[in-house]
Amino acid sequence: MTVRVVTDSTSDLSPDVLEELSIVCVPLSVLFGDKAYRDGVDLTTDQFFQKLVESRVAPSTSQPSVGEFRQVYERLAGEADGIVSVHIGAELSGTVAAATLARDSLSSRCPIEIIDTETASLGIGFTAIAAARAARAGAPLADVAEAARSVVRRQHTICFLDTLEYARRGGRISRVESILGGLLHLKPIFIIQGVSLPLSRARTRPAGLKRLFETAMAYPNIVDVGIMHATTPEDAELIAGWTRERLPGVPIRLARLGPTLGTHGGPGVMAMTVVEGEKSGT
Amino acid sequence: MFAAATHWLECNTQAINSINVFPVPDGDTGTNMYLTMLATMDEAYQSGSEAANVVAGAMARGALMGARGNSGVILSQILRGFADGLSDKERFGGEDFVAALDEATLRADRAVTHPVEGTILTVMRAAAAAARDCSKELGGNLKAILAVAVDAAKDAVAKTPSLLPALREAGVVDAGGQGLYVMLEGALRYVRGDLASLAPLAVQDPERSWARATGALHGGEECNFGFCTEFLVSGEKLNAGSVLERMLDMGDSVLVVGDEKLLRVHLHTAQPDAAIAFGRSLGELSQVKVDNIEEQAEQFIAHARGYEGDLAAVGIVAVVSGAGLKDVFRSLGATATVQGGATMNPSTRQLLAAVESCRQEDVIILPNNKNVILAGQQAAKHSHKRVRVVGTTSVPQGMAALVALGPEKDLDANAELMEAARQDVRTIEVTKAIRTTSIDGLPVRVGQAIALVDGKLTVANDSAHAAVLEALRQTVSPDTSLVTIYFGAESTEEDAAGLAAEIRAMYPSLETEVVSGGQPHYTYIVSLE
Repeated sequence: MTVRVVTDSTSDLSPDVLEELSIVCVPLSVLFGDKAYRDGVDLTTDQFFQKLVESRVAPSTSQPSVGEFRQVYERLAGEADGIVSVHIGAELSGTVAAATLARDSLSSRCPIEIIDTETASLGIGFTAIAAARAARAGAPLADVAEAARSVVRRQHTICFLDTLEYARRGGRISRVESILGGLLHLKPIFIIQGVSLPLSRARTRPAGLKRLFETAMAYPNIVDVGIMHATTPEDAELIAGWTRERLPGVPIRLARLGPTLGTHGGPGVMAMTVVEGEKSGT
Repeated sequence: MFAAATHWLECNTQAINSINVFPVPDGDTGTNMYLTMLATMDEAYQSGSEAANVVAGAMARGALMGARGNSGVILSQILRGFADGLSDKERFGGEDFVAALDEATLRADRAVTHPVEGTILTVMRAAAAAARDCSKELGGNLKAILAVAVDAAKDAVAKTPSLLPALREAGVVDAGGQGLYVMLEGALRYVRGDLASLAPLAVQDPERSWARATGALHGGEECNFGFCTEFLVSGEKLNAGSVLERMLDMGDSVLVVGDEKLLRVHLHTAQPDAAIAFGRSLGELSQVKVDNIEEQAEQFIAHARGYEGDLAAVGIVAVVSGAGLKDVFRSLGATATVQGGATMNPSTRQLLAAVESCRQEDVIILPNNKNVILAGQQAAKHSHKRVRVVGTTSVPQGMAALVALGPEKDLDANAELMEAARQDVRTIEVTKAIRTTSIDGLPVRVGQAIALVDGKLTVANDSAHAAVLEALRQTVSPDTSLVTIYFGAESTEEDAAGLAAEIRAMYPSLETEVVSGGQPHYTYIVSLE
């Protein structure tokens, strides 16, 4: 049985990984004013962050169209017995909704499982990778889907924002506002669990990065670590160093944060994903 | 007798304030002890009894609630011990007095985690020991025993510089010890008849003690909203206790003082008419005053709106002076703020009231001043809520602790986080020296700008800006990345901006921010993170 894995550009997986595991990536769109760019296709990450800082208008991201999903699903349905489609949290983006509409409109007999990861970035990435590995090993659709869902349950994705300016521009903070305080400049640390939940805050970047790291390390039995940066690769290296010391032997995946988190996080945003090992029964 | 002691203390307050080792204009021992005694005496008069044990118990309660500053708290423990020593004695003589002094000494020592010799503790111990040693010889004569105790106290005070190097260097005796000696001396004068004409404090000067008492309620706690309501009621068989209870049902910041013929009432309530109607039912009303606390009303509404949805699990009470600083603490999530007043040291009662005003059952107190920590611990001990004190000794420490607040974490987890956070920040405080002295070999001239780094006086300079820069040179480390200047009431936005520019020039790799603090006494408070 062949199962194919689909994801979207918010998974922050590099082209190499996508190719190696035969994962199909559907791009979201980034809109600056009235110009739309397909994430990773028409606009590179570097270009995005440059425009983010220069543009007076706040950019927005938009889910792939139903049509784009239909095209992908139809093409894959011709070559596979099943599809597992792994996407950014439904409360953060309309991507899952678009994928679902696309699936429901198809008359193909190829079953499609859509996984709402309830998270972002490598939280999605690790999920897609687990699914792809299971698929490559020849597992049936149900098991591939379960492999994905298992990671969804065991992953924790935490972000650190250097400034709230971009999040405010995007109108995304309300709950968060109350703990962040307006009179001193604070740098928030969030966890993405369906929605962004504020965890703590820091006054300085170094303190914030430490807090990001310690928050991630607090989870037990970590078997995978993802470290994501937007415009500060040196900070990713710094945290990678701390991680190697704290968890020797645990694989570390470095990734670049794309426009979805970038739009709200602004340059300087950092994130980490950790995946707990499987317990029996998970 | 204690009224006389208090009166004598008051006469000497300025003198005691002036011998504080630290030439900084806050936390004055004399004023703190005096204010503590005022609260003590208020409670004593309310007890309406003449039995020694009852009055002593009332005094201990009054002192507990009214304790300000570390010296106030220790004094309250001394009075507690004294009351315990007299527990079943309606009248007391020399022997009883000796026993009470012993209890007082024990309590005083226990009040402080690390008792230090050369302080009020030494004086208390010396007085109690001398009294015990001589009591048999003197046949239990109270006057004689007291005289011996006073002499012993005087000697002990004189010896304090030999026990504490800082005192010797500054050329003064210990202020707390001196305060205790003065009180004992006042008591002796009364017993000897030297101050026989002295009438009890509350009656002698009701306006002043009332003004002080209500002033403490206004200057300190966060009033919720409503009307500041005061009246005098004259009648027969008035019961202060039951009036107090009734008033507490109607509002807060309640004060009821007087006797069965005349009661003076103060409270903050949303229904002033109900309070006044109640008063009228008791007797004749006079001096009725109702003020609309509009400013506090707005604050309360803003406060309520901000916290409706996401109420943190733990309430935070922060001690802070200065409108700007108060705003910052509020914006960081402080549930209630308490102001200390002139000495910047709030009383246990004020702290308790702030704890009560939080909707949470779990509360953390941030004293932000080392002279408030003991009072904070007293408030924690006597509240029915679960309260912890995170020992912040400065405003920047308090802010760092508050920034570390995890809204979903529990009381102990937060206390731990905040304790760790407060240790990561360095504090520089700049003020004007109020006397010429020498501290740790550093000469200080009155009027000079002095900088304290984490509470230690390390710089004296004619210019406040230069003092800050010098202190920074001593404190900036490779880990420092952010300097924040909170400028006080004695400074201006322009001055602070100028200082910030000088700092940026000196340390271009550091971020420097300026915030309006509005604090009294300290021209600049600077945090390094």
